[in-house]
Amino acid sequence: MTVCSFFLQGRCRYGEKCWNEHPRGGGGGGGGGGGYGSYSRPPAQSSSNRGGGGFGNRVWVNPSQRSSGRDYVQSSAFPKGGGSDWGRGGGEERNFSAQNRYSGLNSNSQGDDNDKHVETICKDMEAWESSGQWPFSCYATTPASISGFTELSPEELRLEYYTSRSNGGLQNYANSVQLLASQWRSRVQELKNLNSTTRAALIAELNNPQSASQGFPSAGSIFGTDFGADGSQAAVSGPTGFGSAPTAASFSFSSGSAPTSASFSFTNPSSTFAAPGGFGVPAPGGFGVPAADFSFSAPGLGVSPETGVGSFGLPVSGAGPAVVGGAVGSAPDKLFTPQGELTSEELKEFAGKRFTLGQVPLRPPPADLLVV
Amino acid sequence: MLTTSNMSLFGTTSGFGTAGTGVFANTADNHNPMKDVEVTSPPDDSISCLAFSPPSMPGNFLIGGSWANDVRCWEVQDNGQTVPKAQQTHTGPVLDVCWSDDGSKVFTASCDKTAKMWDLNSNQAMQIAQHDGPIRTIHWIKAPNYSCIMTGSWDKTLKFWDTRSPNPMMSLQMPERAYSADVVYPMAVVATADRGLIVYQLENQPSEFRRIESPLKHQHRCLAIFKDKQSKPTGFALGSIEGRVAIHYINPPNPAKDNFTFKCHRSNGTNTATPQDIYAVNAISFHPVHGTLATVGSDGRFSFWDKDARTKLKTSEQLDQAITACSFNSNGNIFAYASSYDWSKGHEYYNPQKKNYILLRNAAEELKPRNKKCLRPSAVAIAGGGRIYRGALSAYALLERVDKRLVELQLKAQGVNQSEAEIKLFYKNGKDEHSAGGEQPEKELKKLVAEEGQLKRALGMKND
Repeated sequence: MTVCSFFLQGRCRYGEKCWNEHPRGGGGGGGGGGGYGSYSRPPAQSSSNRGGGGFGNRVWVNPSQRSSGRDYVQSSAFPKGGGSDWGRGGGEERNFSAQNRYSGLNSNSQGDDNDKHVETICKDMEAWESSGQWPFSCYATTPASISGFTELSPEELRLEYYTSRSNGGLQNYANSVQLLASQWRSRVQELKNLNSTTRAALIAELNNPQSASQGFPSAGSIFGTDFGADGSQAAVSGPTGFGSAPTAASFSFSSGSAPTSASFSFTNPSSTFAAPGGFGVPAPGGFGVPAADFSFSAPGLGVSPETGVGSFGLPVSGAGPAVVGGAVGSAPDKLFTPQGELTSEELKEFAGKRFTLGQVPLRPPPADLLVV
Repeated sequence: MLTTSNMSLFGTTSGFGTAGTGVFANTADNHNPMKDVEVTSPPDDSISCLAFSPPSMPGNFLIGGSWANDVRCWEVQDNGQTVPKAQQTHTGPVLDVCWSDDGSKVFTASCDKTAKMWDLNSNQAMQIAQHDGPIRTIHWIKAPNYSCIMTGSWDKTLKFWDTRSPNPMMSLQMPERAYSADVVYPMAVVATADRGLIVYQLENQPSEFRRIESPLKHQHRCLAIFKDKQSKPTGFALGSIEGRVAIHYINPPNPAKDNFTFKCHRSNGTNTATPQDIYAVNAISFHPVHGTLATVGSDGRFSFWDKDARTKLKTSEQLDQAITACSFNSNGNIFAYASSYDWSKGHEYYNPQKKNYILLRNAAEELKPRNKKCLRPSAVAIAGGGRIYRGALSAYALLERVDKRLVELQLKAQGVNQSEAEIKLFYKNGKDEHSAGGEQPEKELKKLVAEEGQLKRALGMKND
């Protein structure tokens, strides 16, 4: 029986009476109603969660695992894209993939949760970008905040403006805000258009916020909350300068004397742009520090260093307005592997008309072998 | 000099700022669309905080702190006239003010890292607190065995001051910068950066009671404690930059049911096609008598809410500037709100020439909870403008229409003096042609109530 293409899109009107096959026994509410939640579930994720069964193309099949119908547009653009499905090389396989796409509902609650979170995050990022709301805020779907967002209240920014105005440093203020805004924008872009690497990192972070947060220099604020709970964190994250662990309730009868520094600086140890020096440091070079920091801890994310830096390092290391274009522009690069880096077997697979079962390359295909 | 390209951050570039353009664009003088009473000689820069004198004082005095480094005091007379009384200055913008319980003193917190005590009788101000960073919150604590001042700062400490000593009685470390706080003895709650929420108990001496996982996803912005019927603090309302308020009880019998969040201060509420503009909730204040609450937002509107009925009581017209602060007077008859820039769109939208206003509104009627003695309390509570819940917006619009009709019919039913029992009887004997007069509307009402139920189910309406 043919698999019903309408069902796969979640909008078969015939439900169980459909002449074509509805994989997964029609439990999905026969298309229509229950369709949305299931069809938008990114397939690659579920397959990787369950070990994939050798379904190798999960690494690159679906570059933008987005919670939208766009998946389908993408899928048709696959190289040698046998039909509208992910299945390739035989009916069995096809079935398997079709089942996978709906498996989120009845299997593996952890993966299911992750999918849900990721979906929510994508939606929230879209809203955040389009709604005009305050950008310098933390963001979270789980108790721990997602890393990579610098938090400043409007009042803090305003005070910084007033201070800069009084000592003639408005240009610095504008630059700093510009930089913060572009950092924010690229982070939102990154979370909105997840690729496999960023997605894996995000999920790792969702499951284990403490370890993941080390990866981001700008996640300083996360340490704040987690500190009391787990003091050992301080030792691990040594390089970021958390040597002085604050005790939960210290009775300081210290002198009430005024600190000497003339202007309020955002450079306190665990504040978000601590390392770079934040406001008042005119040289954008200051932001090189966190990038270095980052690459140091990238392996902790369980992401290979090169891709790790590529996906996360950019928004931080770049300085100035160019950063937006850079970060966004770089995203598609990782979808492809340069031909020279591929082994001859892999190249043969990509060049061939069909993949050989069991030998499907795990790496993205080279750009010029894509059949679009 | 600043170039345009550097300053364009909050303007035309993608994302941030674009959605908001045009909102404040109409240049017609719209600073007081509801014709409320204007307070004379308002501050020269944005108003950061407002506080009315405590009930122990005869008459009404209003204190307002501003970004022009000053704190002003006005007397609000019964005829609505305002008389400027006195003012004090800091060396930095003032972020918060509070009164002592007897009304003799006012405490002010400033970005100059100090807090001052202002004796209104002598008009003398003296420094009483010192932090390593700007002081964001200040509150007077009156316990049976002690009284003190609590200051929360961006230096991540919460300090308690006996006003006679230069050193704090106590200093508590917080995980993050203090963003907002409220005190109702014996409870204090501080909202911090990175979505921190810390509850303190104040009996005997202040101590940390509990940390709470934030019910909100974004930056905390304002917080207000509410009381139960015995005037004991039971929970708090927390507003975020994402146009959302959470109602959170400290020890609810049923947390999943009692705690909830609702959206507010957003544009095109019923239109799902275009993206929403979302504005920050700048301040929350509870009505001292009715227990209903007011929220004010970056969108230049204030709204009144009944958290128990989960309904909106009123939304204001839109002002040409954000509303940055609000306060009720001690008997709840006056609602003061401040119209000024809140930095929500960055420095680009800051116009130092723009005049700021403090407006006074009669709040005696508008904040009364709606009469609950109706046919169906749940349905009738809708009268004002829709229930508070998350859900699909287009369906929401439909539901609202249904609601309006419902209320209409209910009023009609009440008009002909039918008791609740009688109307229930109508429902039961729907098919019997019971009586001639009120029958037709009753049937329609029943249908509508059913329709409403269906819609609600479809929307997955629940208590969050």
